[in-house]
Amino acid sequence: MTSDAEMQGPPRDRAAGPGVPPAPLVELISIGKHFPGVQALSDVDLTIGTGEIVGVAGENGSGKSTLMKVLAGSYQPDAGTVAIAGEPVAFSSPADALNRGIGLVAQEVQVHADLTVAENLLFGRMPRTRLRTIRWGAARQEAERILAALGLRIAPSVRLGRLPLYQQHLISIAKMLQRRPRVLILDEPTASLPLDQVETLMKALRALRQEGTAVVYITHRLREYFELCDRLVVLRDGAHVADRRVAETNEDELVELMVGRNLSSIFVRPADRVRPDDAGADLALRTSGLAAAGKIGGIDLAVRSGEILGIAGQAGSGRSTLARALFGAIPSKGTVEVGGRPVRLRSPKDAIAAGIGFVPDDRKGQGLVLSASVGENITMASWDQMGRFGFRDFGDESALVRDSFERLRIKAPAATTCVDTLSGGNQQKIVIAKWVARGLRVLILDEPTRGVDVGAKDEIYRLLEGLAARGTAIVVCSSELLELLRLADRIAVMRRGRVVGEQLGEEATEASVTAMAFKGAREPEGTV
Amino acid sequence: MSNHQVLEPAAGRVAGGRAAGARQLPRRILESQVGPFIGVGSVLVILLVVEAFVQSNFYEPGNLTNLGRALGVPLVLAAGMTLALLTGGVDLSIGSSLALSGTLYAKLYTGGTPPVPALVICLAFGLIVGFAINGFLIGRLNMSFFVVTLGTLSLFRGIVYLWTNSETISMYEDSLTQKIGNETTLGGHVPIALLIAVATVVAIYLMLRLTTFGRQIYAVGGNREAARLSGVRTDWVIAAVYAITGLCAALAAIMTIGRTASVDPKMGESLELNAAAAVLLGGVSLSGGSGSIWGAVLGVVFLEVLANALALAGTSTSWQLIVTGVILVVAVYLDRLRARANQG
Repeated sequence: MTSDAEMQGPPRDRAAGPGVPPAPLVELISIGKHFPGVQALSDVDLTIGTGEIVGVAGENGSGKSTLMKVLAGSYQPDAGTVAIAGEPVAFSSPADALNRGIGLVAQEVQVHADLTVAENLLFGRMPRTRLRTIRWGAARQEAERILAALGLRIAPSVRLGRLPLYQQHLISIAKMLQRRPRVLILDEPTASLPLDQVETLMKALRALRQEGTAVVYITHRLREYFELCDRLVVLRDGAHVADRRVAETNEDELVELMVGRNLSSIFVRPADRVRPDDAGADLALRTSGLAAAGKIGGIDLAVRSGEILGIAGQAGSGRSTLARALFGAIPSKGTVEVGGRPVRLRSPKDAIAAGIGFVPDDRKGQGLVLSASVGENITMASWDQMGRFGFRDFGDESALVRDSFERLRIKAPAATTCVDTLSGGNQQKIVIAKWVARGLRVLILDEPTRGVDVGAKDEIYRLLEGLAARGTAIVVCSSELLELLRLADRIAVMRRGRVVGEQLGEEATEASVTAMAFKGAREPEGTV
Repeated sequence: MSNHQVLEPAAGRVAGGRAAGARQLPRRILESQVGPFIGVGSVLVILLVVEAFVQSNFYEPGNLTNLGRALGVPLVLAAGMTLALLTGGVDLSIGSSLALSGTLYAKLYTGGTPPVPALVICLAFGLIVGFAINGFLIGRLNMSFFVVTLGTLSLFRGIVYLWTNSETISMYEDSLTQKIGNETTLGGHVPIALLIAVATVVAIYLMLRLTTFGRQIYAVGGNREAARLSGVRTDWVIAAVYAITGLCAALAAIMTIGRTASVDPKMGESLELNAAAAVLLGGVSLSGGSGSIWGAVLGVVFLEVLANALALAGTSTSWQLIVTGVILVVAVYLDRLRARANQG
C-alpha cells in the first residue's frame, strides 16, 4: 500500500544494497526502565529489520507494553539506547517517534467516538476548499479508498462511536497506517476481534511486510504468533529470555519460555476430572424458552450441580447476552429454574438471592469498583449477609477476605490495596472471589480469562474445576475454544441467538465446535 | 492484616504504582490518605496564624461564637452534599429545598401548629421530597443528576415565591428555632447550631464507616454497574442519598430561621454552590467513589474562616464572592491533579 519513496526518514536507512544483509531498521539495546518499586525492564534487546514481523511475547507484567512505549516514545528509557539505522536517537514524545516512522496502536482504543469514520481516518488532514471549509465528498471518497484497500466494509459517514469496539480498533489501525510508519507496533490488536476480522488484519499486515514495513506484534492468542510472525522475542519479568525464528520453535516452547516452567498442559483436560453423573447429580439450573433483548431466543439449557457447561459461538452469536440474561442483568422472557424451583430474574439481586453469581467480560467496567479496595470488592456481593441491622461486622468481613486470599491465592499487598493496582489475573480472581465468598449454586462467567496471562489462566481453570468438584454448577461463555475444550463437561454452541448444537467436552474438537458455530449444522459425531 | 483495618476504603495507591518518578514528591503526597487535606489544611493553618497577628479581634470569644454559629448551616448542607458527591452526583437543589422546607415550617407555625410537631413535619418533608423527586428521577429513572437537580432548584424556588407571595414571614415569636439557630449553651459560648451540625457530621461519618449502606454509597459512586452486578440496589442507594440531602436542607432551614428570625423567600439561595465548593475543596472526588466527610468539614471551616476574616477586615461582599469563586476553581484543579496522579 505504500512505496519506498513515500517512506519518511533519511534515505540512508534504505542504503542496503542487494546481497547485503538488511541493516536493522530499529535497534533497542540494553534498555532499562524503572518505576518506583518496580524494575519494569532491565537489559532488554530488540532488533527489528525491514519488512519483518516480530512478535513480542510474555505474560502480563513481563514488560511488553513498557518496551513498546519506550520504542514509540511514550516513555524515556533509564538505560540503554534506541537506534534507527545504527544511529542513536532519543524520542521526546510519541509524535516525535511517529515523525521518525515509528507508530504504536495501543491496546486501548484511541479514537474520536463522536466524529465519523472518515474524520477519524483523515484526522488533521481533511480535504478543504479555499475557504478552509471541509470538502465532505472528497473526504468520503478518500476514506472509502482507505477502507477498501484494507478490505474493511465500513461506511465512512457513520459516527465511530456507533461501531462495535473491534471496528473502532480496526479504524485506529487504519488511521495509523495513513501515517505510513516504517515500524508499526500493534499491542493486542486482536483482543476483541472476531475470527474473520483477524484474517483480514493478518492479510493486511502481510501485505505491509511485502512493502518493507516492519511490524511489531503483541497478542494473547499465542497461535497468532505462529501464523503471522517471522521472529519471536520473549520477555519475562522485564528481562529478555529468548529471540527465536518462528520456524525454530513451537507453542509449547513459547509458553515455557514465557512462564518459565512447563505449562503446555494448561489446555489439557485434567485426567481425574469426573463428569457428574446424569442421573445422580441434581439439576442446578434449567432454562426453557429463554429469550432476551431480541438477540437470543428459545434457549433450553440444563446444568447439573458440579457440571461445567461451556457456551461457544462467534462474536455476536448471543453468548454474552445469554450470560447476562441468566443473571437478571437484562430483562428476559421464558422460564429459569434454580435447583428445581422457578425464579423470576428481574434484577441481579433476584439472581443472587437464587444463588447465581456472575463474572462479566468487562472486568474494569463491570466487574470491579476500581476506586475501592481489594477487601471491599471481595465482600461487596456478601454485604447483605453480614452484620446486623445494616451495621457491618468487621470481624466477619476480614475473615472472609483472609479466607478468599488463601483459597484463591490472590496476590495483593493487603486487603486495603486499591484493586486498580493489581495485575489482570489477580483482578479476575477478585471478581470470582466475590462469588466464592458468598457461596452459590450457579456461577456464570463471561470470558473468564480475557486479558489474563497464561499462569493466572491455569490457576483460574483449577479454581473453577475446584468449585465444580464441590458442587457448584458453572456456565462458561468464551471465545477461546481451547479454554472450553479444557474446562467444559459439555459444550453448547450458539449461532444467531440460538443454541444450534451440543457436544460432550471430551468428544468435542476445535473443528467440530467451529463447524457448528459457523454453519449451525449438526456434526455427525458426538451431537447430543 | 489486623482485624479492624482490613476493610478500610482503598488508601490511595500502595507503593509500586506504575508511573510515579522520584521527582514527584508532591504527587506522592497527593496520592496518600492525607493528600486531599494537605492543600486546604495548610492554607487554613496559615490563615489562622496570620489572623492572630493581623486581626486581634478574630480570636475574641464573641467572634469565635459568631463563627461557630455561622458554621452550622454550611456544615449540615456539606454533610449531605458529601453523600451526593460520593455517589458521583451533586444536589444543586439544596438551597431551594431549604427555602421550601423553611416555608412549610413557617406556614405550619403561623397556622398554629406547635413548634415541635412543625419541626418534625418539616424534617420529614425535606426527606420525602428529596427521596420522591430527586431520588426517584435520578436513582430509579436514571436521569442525569445535573438536569434533575437544576430543575428542582428552579421548581422549589418557584413554589416558595408563590406560597409566600414573595413576602418575608416574621418568625420573631418562635423560640424553638431561635434556640436551635441562634442561642448558645455550655457557658454561653458554644452555639447550639454548631453542636447540632457536629452531631450531623458525626452521624454521617458513622453511617459511611459502620453501615453497609455507607459502603454501598462508595461502591455506587465508584462503579454503578459493578455495584449493581454485585447485588447492590443502586436505585435505592441513590434515592436514599438524595433523601438525606433533602433532610439536611430541612435541618439547615430550621437553623436559618432561628438566625434570621424570619423566612425570606430568597433564603438559602446559592448555598448549594458553597456546599459543593466546600466538599470539593475537601478532596471528595467529583467523579464519585472517593473522599471523606472530614475533608468536607475542613472545606467548610476554611470557607467560613475566610469569610469571617474578610468580613472583619471590612472586605465587601463582592470581594468575598470573588475569593470564593477563585478558590472553587483551585479546588477542582486540585481534584484533577489528584485524578491524574491516580491514573499514573
